Amino acid sequence: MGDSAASYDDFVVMRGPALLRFAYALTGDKGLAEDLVQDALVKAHRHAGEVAVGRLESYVRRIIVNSYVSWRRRRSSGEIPGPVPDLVVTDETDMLAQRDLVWRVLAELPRRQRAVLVLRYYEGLPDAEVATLLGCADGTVRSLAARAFVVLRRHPQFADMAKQQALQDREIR
Amino acid sequence: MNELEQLLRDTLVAREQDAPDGRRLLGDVRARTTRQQHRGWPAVGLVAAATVTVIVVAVQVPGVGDETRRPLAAQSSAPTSTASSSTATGPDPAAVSVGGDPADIIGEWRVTGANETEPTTLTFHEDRVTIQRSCGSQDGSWRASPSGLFVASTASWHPECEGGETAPSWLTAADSFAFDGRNVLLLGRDGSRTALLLPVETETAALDDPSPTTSHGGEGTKPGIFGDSVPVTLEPASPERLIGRWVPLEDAPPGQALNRPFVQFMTNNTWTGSDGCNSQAGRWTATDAGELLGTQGGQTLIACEGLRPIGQWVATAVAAGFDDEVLVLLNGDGREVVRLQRA
Repeated sequence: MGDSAASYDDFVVMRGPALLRFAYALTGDKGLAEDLVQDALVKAHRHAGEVAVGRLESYVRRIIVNSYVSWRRRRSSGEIPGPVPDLVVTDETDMLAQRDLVWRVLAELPRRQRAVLVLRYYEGLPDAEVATLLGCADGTVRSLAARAFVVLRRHPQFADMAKQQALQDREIR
Repeated sequence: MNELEQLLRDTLVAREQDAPDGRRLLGDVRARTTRQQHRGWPAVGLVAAATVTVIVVAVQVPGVGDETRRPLAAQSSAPTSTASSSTATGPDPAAVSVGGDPADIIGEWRVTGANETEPTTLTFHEDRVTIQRSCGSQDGSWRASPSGLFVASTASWHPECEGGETAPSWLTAADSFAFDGRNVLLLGRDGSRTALLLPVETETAALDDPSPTTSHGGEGTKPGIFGDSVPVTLEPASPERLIGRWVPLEDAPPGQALNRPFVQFMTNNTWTGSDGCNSQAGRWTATDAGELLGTQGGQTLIACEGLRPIGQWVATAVAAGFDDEVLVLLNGDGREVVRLQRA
């Protein structure tokens, strides 16, 4: 018991920060991220002995994602992004402003859409794994991602990016 | 990866620096897991052998809650008040977070703050719930979702219990749950507390759910598939739109069913129906996000061919959505249970 407790403590210490970063990418809120990770670690603790050591982190991440998409009401730290401004990005020096805009748009997305983007582009998971995590079909993942990008492209600078991409694609063909 | 996708990835990675550092994480987790280890759990079947039950045809309908249901999602702004003048002490429901792992509800609880005139315990098993008083017990069913949705009903009564034929209103009026430390709060549709459940300490070893991926013993349920699992092709079914009488879209196979199968969702959060030969009933609750949970009460057991398992459909659904005007019930695997049309 003592060894397993120490082992779980080690896991929390070693992987806790990464789990918090993941939860923060999902929630965009430090307080909620801490709640989410803490809840997941407490739940996972009950089953830590049943889950292979190498799979414990993915198990905890699964709990985090599932809890995040199924939360209805949860206290917030009040860290709410403001309205999305109409920024005009002129060159690469405005990258920070551009990222800030993306972050704000992410906050507007429904949770499942944001979860898909985070799992795809932050975690780098293929759609099949994202689908497994979210308990839905691959096609649903693609649909959720597509709907999220529709929201992103509503903003003029991102719409331009999409056009440029379409032009590049045409030239390549 | 196109430019927009790359920007998205860069943004998420860049924001890592703003994430919490986790310095308090180990201490907080240690404190909570220590409390968890000290929680007592009953042995499954602890009370079943001593229970004398009589199956009744219709589910018990509480004497409260006949007004039109307000979606749970709207409750956060509702004024809160305690449900009774009991001496039980408990936190302000508004101060606790609704929802959690339904598996944590499984166990034996002492009922307080619920106008019970004698000691009452409530035992949640994976697939049923038992109310125990000195005069006897009542059995029923319950379901809950991680987001906090809760529904319970009784399907039996004990003849020696005064008023034992009636399901307690503090249980049937509850449509959400919350954890406050080791205690469970049952909350009504207006956010007020209907009962405070205190854990009954036993010497029984902890009975953990053996499956890491199971959050609640309801058939086909697993974490993360509630509510938001309504496919994008369906419009989440709001509680108001569920009200009414529904019949299976597909005709029943040729058989000897006496009546046309149906389910009728009523505004007092009960449902009645028929599988074609047997009357069925239960309770239901839903949210605007498309979450739907139902219980099935007692029923007659007339055997005839061509039955449609109406009660099972409702009792295994976790979500509901509309495909145009067709109501689609979905189970915990995200699969369609049945398609229904308004009668």
